[in-house]
Amino acid sequence: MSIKDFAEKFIKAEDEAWQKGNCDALEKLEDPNVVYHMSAPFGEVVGFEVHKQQILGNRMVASEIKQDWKYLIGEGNLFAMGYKSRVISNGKVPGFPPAGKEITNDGLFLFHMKNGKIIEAWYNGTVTGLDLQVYLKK
Amino acid sequence: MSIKDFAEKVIKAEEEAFQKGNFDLLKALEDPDVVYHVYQRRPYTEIVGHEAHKQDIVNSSKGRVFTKFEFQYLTGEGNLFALSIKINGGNFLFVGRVKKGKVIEGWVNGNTKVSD
Repeated sequence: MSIKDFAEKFIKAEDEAWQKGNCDALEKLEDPNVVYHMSAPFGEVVGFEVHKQQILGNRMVASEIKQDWKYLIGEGNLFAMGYKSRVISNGKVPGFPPAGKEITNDGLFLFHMKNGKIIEAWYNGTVTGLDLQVYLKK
Repeated sequence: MSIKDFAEKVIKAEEEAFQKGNFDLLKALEDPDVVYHVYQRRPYTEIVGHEAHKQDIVNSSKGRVFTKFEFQYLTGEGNLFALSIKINGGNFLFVGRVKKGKVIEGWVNGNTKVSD
């Protein structure tokens, strides 16, 4: 499988997880000890189970989840993707905007694979809609 | 030269350019037609060519005191490498692509207001 084909499978697995709460496909693509190095305010996500719980938790506090992934480049075991998302807050999380208001994310991901699974990823980007001072204290 | 060694040279070249206004090293490492995809700017901006990149650094460094200036190699393989960039209050992820020993394309995104 080419690195681009793998990236396309990852996009479908992310959609399945975020839209339907089904993380089975994602589990097959991530190492159990995967590490996501996320820029502030997200921090580090260590392990597939933590990533899964984060996705499922976010599905509980936001709706109308829209994600747009764009494959940019890949070689060997590395690939980069652009990422944009938009969700509607339910207003129940400290630092989230009032119910009905949107949170957006525009960032860049770099993924590192090992033995056919994602073992490490880096993310940096801009989030709008959050009250960062409150969100970071929660 | 390994991709990590190349990336370390890029870091030195960027430091020279931003902090001393010396672009010789950067010129030697960039393809004349290098393209940088700068996603954190609104609107999305493409910087095309070494000369345009040089001007962009000159403009963004003018009158600026760098209280924080950290470039860190994250990973690399083949012709791809990634850097973490922290400048003053902002932090960014940069992915570079190398061709014939020069940077031919780069992607950058991040946040100019949140430093971690």
